[in-house]
Amino acid sequence: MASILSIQGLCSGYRNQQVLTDIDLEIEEGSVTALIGPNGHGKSTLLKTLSGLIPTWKGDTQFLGKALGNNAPDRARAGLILVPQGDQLFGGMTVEENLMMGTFARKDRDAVQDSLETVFTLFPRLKERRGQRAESLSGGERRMVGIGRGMMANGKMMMIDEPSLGLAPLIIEQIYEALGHLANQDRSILVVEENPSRVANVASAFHLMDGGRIAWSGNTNDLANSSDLLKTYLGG
Amino acid sequence: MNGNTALYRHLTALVAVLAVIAILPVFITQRYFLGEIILFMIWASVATQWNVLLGHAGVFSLGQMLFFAIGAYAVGMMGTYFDVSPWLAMPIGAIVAASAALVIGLACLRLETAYVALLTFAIVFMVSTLIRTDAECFITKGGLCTPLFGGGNGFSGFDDLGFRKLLKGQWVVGNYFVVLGVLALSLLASICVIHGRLGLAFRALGDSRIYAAARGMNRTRFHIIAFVITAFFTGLTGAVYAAHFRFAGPSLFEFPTLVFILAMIVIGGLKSTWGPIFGAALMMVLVEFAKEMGDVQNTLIGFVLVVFVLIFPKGLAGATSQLAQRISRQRSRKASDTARAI
Amino acid sequence: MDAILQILVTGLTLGSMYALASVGLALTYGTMGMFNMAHGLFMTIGAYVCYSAFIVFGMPLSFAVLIGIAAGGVVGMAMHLLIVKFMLHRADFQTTIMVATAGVAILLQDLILKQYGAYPFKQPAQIEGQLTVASVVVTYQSIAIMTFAAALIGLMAWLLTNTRFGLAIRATAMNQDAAELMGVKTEQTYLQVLLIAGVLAAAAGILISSLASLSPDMGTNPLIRAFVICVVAGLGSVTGAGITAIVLGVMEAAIGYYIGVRFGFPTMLGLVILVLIFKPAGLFGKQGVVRA
Repeated sequence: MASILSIQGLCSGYRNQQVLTDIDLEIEEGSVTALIGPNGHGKSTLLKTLSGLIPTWKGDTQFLGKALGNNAPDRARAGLILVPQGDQLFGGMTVEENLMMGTFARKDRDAVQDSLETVFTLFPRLKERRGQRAESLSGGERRMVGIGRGMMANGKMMMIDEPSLGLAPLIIEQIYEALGHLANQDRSILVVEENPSRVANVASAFHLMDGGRIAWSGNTNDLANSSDLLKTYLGG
Repeated sequence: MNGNTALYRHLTALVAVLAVIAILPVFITQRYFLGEIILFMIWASVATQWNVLLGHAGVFSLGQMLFFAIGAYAVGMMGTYFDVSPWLAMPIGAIVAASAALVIGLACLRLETAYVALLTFAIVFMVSTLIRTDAECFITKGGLCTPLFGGGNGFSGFDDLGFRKLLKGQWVVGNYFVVLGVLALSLLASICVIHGRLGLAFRALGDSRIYAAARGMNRTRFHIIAFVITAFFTGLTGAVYAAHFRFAGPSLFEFPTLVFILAMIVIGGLKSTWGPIFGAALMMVLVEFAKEMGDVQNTLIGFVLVVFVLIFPKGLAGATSQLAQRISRQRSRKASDTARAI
Repeated sequence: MDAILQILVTGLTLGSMYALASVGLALTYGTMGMFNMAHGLFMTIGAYVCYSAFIVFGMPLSFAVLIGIAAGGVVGMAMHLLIVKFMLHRADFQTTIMVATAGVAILLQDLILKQYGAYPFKQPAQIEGQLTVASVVVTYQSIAIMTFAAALIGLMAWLLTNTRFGLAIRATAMNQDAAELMGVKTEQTYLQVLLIAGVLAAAAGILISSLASLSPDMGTNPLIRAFVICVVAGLGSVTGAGITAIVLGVMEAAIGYYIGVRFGFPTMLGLVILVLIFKPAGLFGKQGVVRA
């Protein structure tokens, strides 16, 4: 399959602190790729860099065969959508307004209503709460709005940062069920997850990050065969 | 130990700086230049105190000129109404300024940075308006009506420091050394605050407010302490200003004066110890220059301030260390290049 | 009864001007965490440009007012493009931008002083005549002021809630990173915000100068009012600033009538500090929203 996102020699970090070193990565179109690994080793930094929220120091990022713009708005407009960690909702807006914000850069205004229906079908809870302010939602509901808002952009690829972070097990299950639905629709998704077992059924490609580098890559079978290696990294 | 050596280093520097200023009158005898140096010392003292607040304690006060004015008014009012000598009125003025700072600090310093700035600014504006618009005569001397706080004209012509009688034509030199004494006290206090225990607390609060709070440090309390200490020395400086010029009036509150001193701090380097002194010297020269160009001083001050904030946000202190770093880096790069060539 | 009505008329006139002067300031702080010390100069510039267009270039009054307002917007944008843009990403933006804009303020004020002199003149934008309803005097001028202020604030509120660019501003104010991730070009948003702030302030300046007079430091007084209003409302709360402005305007008129004009502002400020002791983030502000 064709590669939708191709990263070569990417370096990045915060202010003077380098976090990512020489990342090479190919993300295949129409599949779910998981970025796994322990906390504090650059997974979220990689997504933030790819989204343009923090600047790329060095390296080349090609999206659909074209070089990406430098800043977040340009990358979002090109169809590379980040669902950020901690949800980052617009607290003063309602659930529906938040979802509609996701369509801000869309050109196909006619199809927006369909997307809203799709989100509401996937997360019926949001339909019930559509008029409620985002700041009054529970953690799980906020996550649903975050993912829903990402879907509303109807981008070419969606990056989701730790969808299970800080949620109760029951809610995590619901969120991954939803991700499973998205995976079946052949969407291109890059998901960050600390725990590989959660994404094992959803994703088809896996990359392990350690110390700001890609330490291991493989498919579902490789993942099953490498449980020892993963244990050393993840302390499972 | 490390803190102590820094403290001693700065104290030694202080002695050196004061010694240089003290021998200047030997070479400079024109009254005009001595007057300019006196003004420089006054603004340098105010700027230094303000820098302690703004740069080190992190209190964004725009009300410093109020404390300056309180010191000045104390000398002016006590001299006019009770014929009190400035020598006695000066410390009283400083204490009144510190007390006012305590009240204002208790009311305002709990708030966030921007609120502190705006409220202190508004308070100064309010006080100056109240004084200016006061038309009720408190005393009438020779047909001249003086409101309690001097109204729009303020106070002038009250008793001086006594050097006119004592030193006759050389009275400016007497005033010069009194002002130098105040500057010395002000600098000494600022060095002790910045490099002492208080400064340590400010750095801790600056690094992580939440962590410092978790260690039981009360940010507001430290802010109020800094506010009161700096108000004391700012008030003292205002008092010596009034004693030297024999004037205290609402023009001290004018916005351009505030920006002028702010410019000294920014140009000297916020968060530095000695920056405001150099900033004050530079701004004094700049204003002289502007006077010659045809009274464009506020335009020039505004322009220089903006340029510094934009291009050298760390002021002269930061710019020189940046430059030094760049030079040493270039030198080491050159050295390594030659090493490779060899 | 008549006294109360008269106070209400005076207060609403004051309040509507204060509102116009404050909402721009609140909007700037709310979207970009920037406290603009030169906001008062936007007012002064608007008033002087209107004066010049009318008297010096002999344009019709309505056109002169438009030019004055436009000048405020241009100065707002220029300030963004020349200064603010380069400072936005600094860690200590909130304090350094106050210093920088204070510099801009005295620079512009000095230039106006040099151009027009310190002597105050009368703003030509005057509407003569008055209306007497049951012994309460309402000048046409104050009716015009209230209408004009209401129309402009209404227009801004409509833009913010009903247009795409208003949506971008609100989103940026709530969460800058998230707005960028939605494709909002926040750099442009900030430019638009300073444009709006400049326009509103210039309009406020024209109205204020029509009641008082034109002088280089005419912006200081309303600027301090606007500061206090924004602080009481909670920095960044735009609706709050509008409401607070009206209330404080009426209050100032009442204090001026019963105690003396001199004490209008001091009493107001005293009350404000009292409010802040109990509500440190202002009446309409949220503790969390205020950026530390």
